[in-house]
Amino acid sequence: MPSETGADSFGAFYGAAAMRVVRHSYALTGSLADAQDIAQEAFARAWQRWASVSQCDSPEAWVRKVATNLAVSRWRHDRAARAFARELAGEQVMSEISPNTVALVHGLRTLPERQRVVLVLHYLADMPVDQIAADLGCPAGSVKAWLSRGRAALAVALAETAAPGSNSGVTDA
Amino acid sequence: MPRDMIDGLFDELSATELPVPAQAAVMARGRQRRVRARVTAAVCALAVVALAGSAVGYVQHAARSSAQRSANQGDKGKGRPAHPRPSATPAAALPPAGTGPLLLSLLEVQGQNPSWKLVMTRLTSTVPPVALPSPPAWADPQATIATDPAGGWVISYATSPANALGEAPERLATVSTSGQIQPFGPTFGRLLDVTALAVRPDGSAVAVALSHRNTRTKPAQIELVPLPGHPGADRTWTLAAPGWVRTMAESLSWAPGGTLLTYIPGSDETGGGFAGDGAVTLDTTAPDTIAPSTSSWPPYLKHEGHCALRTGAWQVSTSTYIALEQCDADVVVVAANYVTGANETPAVQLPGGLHTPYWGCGQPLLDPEPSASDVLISGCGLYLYSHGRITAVPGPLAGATFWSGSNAPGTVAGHYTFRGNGIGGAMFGQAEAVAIAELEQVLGSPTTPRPTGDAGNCTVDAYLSWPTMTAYFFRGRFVGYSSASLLGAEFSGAPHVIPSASTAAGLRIGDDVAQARRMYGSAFTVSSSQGGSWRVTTSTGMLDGYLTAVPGRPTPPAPRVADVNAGSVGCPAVSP
Repeated sequence: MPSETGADSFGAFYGAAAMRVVRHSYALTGSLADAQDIAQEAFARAWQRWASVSQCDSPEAWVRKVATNLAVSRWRHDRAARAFARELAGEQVMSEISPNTVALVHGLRTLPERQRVVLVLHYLADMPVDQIAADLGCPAGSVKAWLSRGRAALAVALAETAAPGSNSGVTDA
Repeated sequence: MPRDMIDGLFDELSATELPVPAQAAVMARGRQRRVRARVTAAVCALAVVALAGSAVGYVQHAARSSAQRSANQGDKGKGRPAHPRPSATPAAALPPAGTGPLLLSLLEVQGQNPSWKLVMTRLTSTVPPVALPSPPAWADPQATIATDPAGGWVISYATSPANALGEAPERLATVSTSGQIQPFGPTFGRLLDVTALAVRPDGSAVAVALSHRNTRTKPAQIELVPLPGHPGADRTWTLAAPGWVRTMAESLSWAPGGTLLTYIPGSDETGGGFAGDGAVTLDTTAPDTIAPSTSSWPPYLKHEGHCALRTGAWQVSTSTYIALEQCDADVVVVAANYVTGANETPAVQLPGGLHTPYWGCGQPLLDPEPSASDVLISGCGLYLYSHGRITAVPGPLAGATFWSGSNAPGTVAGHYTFRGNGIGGAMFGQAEAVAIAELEQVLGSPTTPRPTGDAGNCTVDAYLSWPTMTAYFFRGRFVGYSSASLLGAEFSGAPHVIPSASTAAGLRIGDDVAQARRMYGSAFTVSSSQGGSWRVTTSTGMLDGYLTAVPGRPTPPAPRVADVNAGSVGCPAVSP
């Protein structure tokens, strides 16, 4: 069990990083409720082994990686059931999110997983291509291609969202 | 849209204030996970599970030693060759000691990545689950399990480590009760996920549900892959029709008879039935390549107040479709009409409901025991549904958990299924030690400690007997067997107990020729040679044996099946 000092340092870390991890998860899943769930699970895993995670070069990168893994894992399938459980528990996720952000997240949801992940890592986590490639364990050339195709596909999705008569955002925020 | 506009949208998201979970809730969840890890790891108190019906008396001593130990055992696989190979000898610790039904399960390993380990245990186990020794650690997290009614299980596993996006090629393998892993079938591409498996009731083929990763539009596929030793070609169906595409299929399950395959279509994003689709049934004998889409199951999310189908499976022994449904806050198990979803039995409530699903605890699954009315319910916990009661099974298992096929009719407690290619998990061609270990699982101890040499007996050079049968070996390999016979006499060490086993089609020793013909039709042939004999070619190979009388003679008694043989059993008898 982490010590009281550990709790303090975890608290400081959480205060600084939690919002960024929720945003990261929101961009990956398109659901604010899922994003909160993923962030909570990722930080809980960090807290569970805080003595070692706190010694990492970047504990936030560790948590972000867990969040990414959870967002793309096969267990994402049961999200309807999780949403239902949250509804039963009376949990509500309220937030004021601008139409631009809703449209962006909606557009991201239409992209293939690889393109979505590299766009989110590049733009939100500010990671260069080489670092994304190292993180994902794939060639830098592939990351460049996914970024390029992802940007193009996202532009199309955003243009469609903006088109008159089209449905905008589909998030549960 | 210009690139700088996309940059601007991401900048806006970067500055957006979103609600963040309370730190106290995060720390509480971390503590909860730690407790769960301790439950797996620590010495646990004796727990007695009084289970209903056939399960009465199952006693579960909770795990005595640590999950760490299990994890360490699993670590043995690290650094092994990329493809799990069939082991030369049975794993020493498998199957776990005890007498309860064997289970194969996915045990959650808590860490940075969502991760699972394949473990074997018994429902009545007093010791911790044992990790399968052969698969490398990275093979497990992709695993999907199905009971093989002919013995053991079929799994999917990753053939190389997954990348950070969780992508890895997957393959199928049989797992025997002694932990032997035998890969077979195609290797599925890195961008395909195996989402469900179901082995045909006769153990001849496995249905595989595949979902495309990295796309939101490609339809899911169902493939039919023959099991090792079974003839037949792969077949594929896609879940797409005009105006209808489903990107995943869950809860694959064969109806009794082995031609109708029921599944729950759904989306890669939300899963199956809960999001609206009900159970759908595919006739695998039809020539179509498009899986049907129609379901009259009431779509829950569109009709408030109905029960939502979470998962379902056929119980072959009772010919009923068992469904696990979410009815508002309650989770219930019912026998349901698989076309309309109408309940055919009163709903039985899961005590306390399923745990609130959390990321990584897995989707709920049902696995009806092939021979009985018991059903395992797994999903963030393990439960047993037996004779109208549901009981929580204490212990560390919470992920997908499946009965061993050796619990199937004719394969437990001295019973087994006569197959043309072996018995239980013992297959012709296996190394002698491996086959004997498998045979001991279904036959118990042999009458002599080791095989007896049988030089000069044609294609057999050693044999080993049990009270109900003899197994034959040639050059260190299992090559055939013959059962105790109605014509035989007891002498020292020879099989003399007539087994109550049957063939997959139901033929038993003592059945008359008319009964055999009803099961096999004209494929069942008889001959007057050697005082009366019979023969039938099945999907697993040829079975033959003696009859109690010469067929076709007008005098009683009517000839009956006297014994069952398969494979090589020595020199042909001298014809009369």
